Amino acid sequence: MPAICGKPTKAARRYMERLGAIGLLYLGTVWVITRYVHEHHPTGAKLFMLAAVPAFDVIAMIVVVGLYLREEVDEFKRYQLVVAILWAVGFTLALMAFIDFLRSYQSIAAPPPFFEFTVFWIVMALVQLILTVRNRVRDE
Amino acid sequence: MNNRLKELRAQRGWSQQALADKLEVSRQSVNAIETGKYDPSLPLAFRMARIFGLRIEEIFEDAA
Repeated sequence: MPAICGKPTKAARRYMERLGAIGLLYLGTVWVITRYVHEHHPTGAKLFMLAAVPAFDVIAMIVVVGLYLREEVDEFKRYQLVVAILWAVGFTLALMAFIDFLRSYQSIAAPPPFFEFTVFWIVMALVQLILTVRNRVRDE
Repeated sequence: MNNRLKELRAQRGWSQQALADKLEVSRQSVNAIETGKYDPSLPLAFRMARIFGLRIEEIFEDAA
């Protein structure tokens, strides 16, 4: 039976744990802040400060990716993650450029909140999965 | 870049996993290098050379 994913490295395990924790924190933060804004209708500086809070979680996720790239001793795994990041950045930016153009000239509705964030991580996960399957090793 | 990794590994009777363990990389890395999907960095190429007791140019050759 082919070993598709192989044994994760220590750095990969830490990466998944950290990313999972920050992801949950992000979802919790967005949920709490969204509820607060719906109930209290803050405006001005307070609303700006609240809007900035989820952005810190996004920065934390990028830091987690950076830590993985620094801690991972297997350079091929690092290379695969960099490829996945490039695909995710490229796809997300291209999609947003396409949607923005249509919004400018066809009056289509804006995408839902946090759309880019979701697309970025989904594409990154998909590319990582594709690379893992493409580079799978079979029993010798 | 072409390499003789598979041949050298076979001569020594090492599995991909055994070589990966010696190099402290994943088996996927060894497989990707052997199949030419990935060219290793200079430090990893030096580690390979040390493990096989050869010079780098005896393992890798420029495809051009």
